[in-house]
Amino acid sequence: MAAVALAGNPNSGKTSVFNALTGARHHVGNWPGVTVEKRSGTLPLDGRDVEVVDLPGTYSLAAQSEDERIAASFLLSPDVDVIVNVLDASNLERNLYLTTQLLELRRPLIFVLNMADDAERRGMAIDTEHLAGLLGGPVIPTVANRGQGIEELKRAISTVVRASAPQPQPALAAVGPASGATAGDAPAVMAAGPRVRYGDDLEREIEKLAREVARDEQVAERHGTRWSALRLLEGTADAEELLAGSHARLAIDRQRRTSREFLEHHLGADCPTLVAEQRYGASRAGSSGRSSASRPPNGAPGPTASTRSSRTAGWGSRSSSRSCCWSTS
Amino acid sequence: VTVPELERPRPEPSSPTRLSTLPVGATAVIVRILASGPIRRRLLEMGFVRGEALKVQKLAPLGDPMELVIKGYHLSLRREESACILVVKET
Repeated sequence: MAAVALAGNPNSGKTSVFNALTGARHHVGNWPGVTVEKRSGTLPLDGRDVEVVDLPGTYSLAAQSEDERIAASFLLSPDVDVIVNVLDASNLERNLYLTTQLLELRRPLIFVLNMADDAERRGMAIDTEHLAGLLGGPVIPTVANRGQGIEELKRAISTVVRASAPQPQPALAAVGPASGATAGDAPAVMAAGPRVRYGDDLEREIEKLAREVARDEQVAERHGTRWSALRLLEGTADAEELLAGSHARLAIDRQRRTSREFLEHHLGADCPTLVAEQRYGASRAGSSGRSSASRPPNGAPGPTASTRSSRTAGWGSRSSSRSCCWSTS
Repeated sequence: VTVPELERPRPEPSSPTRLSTLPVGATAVIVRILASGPIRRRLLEMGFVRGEALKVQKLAPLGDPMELVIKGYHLSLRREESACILVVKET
């Protein structure tokens, strides 16, 4: 059975979307081994059932809390055919932070701008077409608790599920001698698609580290080398586990130390900070399409000169390592 | 005796202070996160990155917790968290 995973921040209306998709056809259980609730249901689509799983609401996939660990590991499992990223339309910059991480998974993604009426009331006009181009997937405005936009969402899910179903796992045939950063990604991983460019300095170190990660075929295959390298630089809990269990840990750890040392010295901040800054830079650029309301409410000050310049640096343009970018390859 | 223009006292450029010391209504720009480990990562994820502007919205008695506006949304911080965020107050 095809599976759809709903991912999003707490309070983004994920559960409303889930209820609207599955109606009464759902059950609540627990994730294996933990007391976090697992909500899953079925969505009849084109004459067959699609499983919909409502993941715990998280701000990040850093795997710090139980919720995040569950979300991250489920999203990496090959059972997921499409990820529906539910975003609070009136809080886009904040919500896009998680999106920057979801894009790294290289899975088919659909974006839901939930509570679109709320955003509209607050005078935020979101250019969904622009956003769809940026994120490389369909963007669907919804008001889930009133059922608005749900038919469009079902159609989008149907399109993606149909596109991914008939292929006999092409990634399996491609597993061979690992060669470079792109080899041996997880099954159903897309080769291309937009993602955050972390700037030349970080990108170069990610690439070097990814080459060392590729020594361990199992890790490379399960998580992808770039995803693993990025998380190793950040030092997330699951990356540490991954490293501890890898036969290539000496080589990987040596490169990680060199990379971290270089980046901290060169850019003046530690890796978690640098990565978060770049992700927020991209989130800001992504949310700035809503021109009129891009300034914080309640008289909070606008961006400082430095962040303002990175905002206008915008998308795709390859500029200095400090400014944020999106890349489509 | 006239004081030459240059020697007249000028307002000092504000130096970094801890977010926990700011009064209600103050606006500031983040300079650095002093925490380490999980708290540091959590704060970064919540949007406390260098150069980001914020505003102190409300303070509970004794300043704990503190409600602020960052990136257009409201967030409450405990004192132990707000004390490890270094900011420059805007005038």
